[in-house]
Amino acid sequence: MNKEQFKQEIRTRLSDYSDEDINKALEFYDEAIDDRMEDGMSEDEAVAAIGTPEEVARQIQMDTPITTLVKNKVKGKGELKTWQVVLIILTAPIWFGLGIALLSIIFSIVVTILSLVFAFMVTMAALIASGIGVFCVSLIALIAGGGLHAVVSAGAALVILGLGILSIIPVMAFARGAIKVIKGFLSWIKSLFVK
Amino acid sequence: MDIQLKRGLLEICVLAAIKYEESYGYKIIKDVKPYISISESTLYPILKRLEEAGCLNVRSAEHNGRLRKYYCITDVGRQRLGQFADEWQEIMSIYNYVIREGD
Repeated sequence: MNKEQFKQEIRTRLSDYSDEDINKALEFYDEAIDDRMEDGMSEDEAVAAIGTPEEVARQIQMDTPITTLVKNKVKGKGELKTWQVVLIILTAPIWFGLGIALLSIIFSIVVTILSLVFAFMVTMAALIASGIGVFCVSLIALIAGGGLHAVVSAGAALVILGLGILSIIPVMAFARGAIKVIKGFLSWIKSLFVK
Repeated sequence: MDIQLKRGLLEICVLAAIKYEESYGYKIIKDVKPYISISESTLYPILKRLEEAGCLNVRSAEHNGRLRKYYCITDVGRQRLGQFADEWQEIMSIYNYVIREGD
């Protein structure tokens, strides 16, 4: 494959991108191929050393934020033909519904995970708060003179407080894990959109 | 190597390649290659990211009748290298813990 073919291949694969982005990337690969040829390689060898056009295009796509990818897809390149516009409008009830459904599925999965984290945190906070509360009760009982009552509730307070504090470690680990899972999930979604 | 780890290390290696003097794409690849596998298709996104993060500046200069881009490290880029050196101390102690031998 010569240099021009190589560049043309990349151009086709990145047809959703703006001319500016493509030209900037191609300039880079142009220079790299020229430098390798200056170093004594033939044009074919130099092109082969850079990597395949698929690889090059994929690297660029994986490095583009998903919002830009979607924007590029929606915007497309150049003007849409009239029949394309008509088709898009006519099929709006279908793709709009599907799009909303897909977004809501993604959204609900993320929210479910986050609310689980939230629930655990609230439980933890409640345990600690009620532990402190029961401890206050035992102090009051002590002042009021109910010796046995004070000891029992002090014991209960310590148990509850201990549970609450112990739960900090797993809850935090769970929160960190959940964030990792969400991140992985979102980048998996992204990889679905990258050809 | 773990893909995330490699990505981070590649960025550091590219910064290290331009630590003392500016360099260009192919030279960076030749300089870094003995240490970590790298090709143009991986280098391009890395240079773009580093430029966006302000770690390096780019200038075009003529070379043999064509333009070539030269990359020059910034203070932010130097800080990043310093940070890496600090973090590495921590990683080394973890490494020693991982490979320790039983009594």
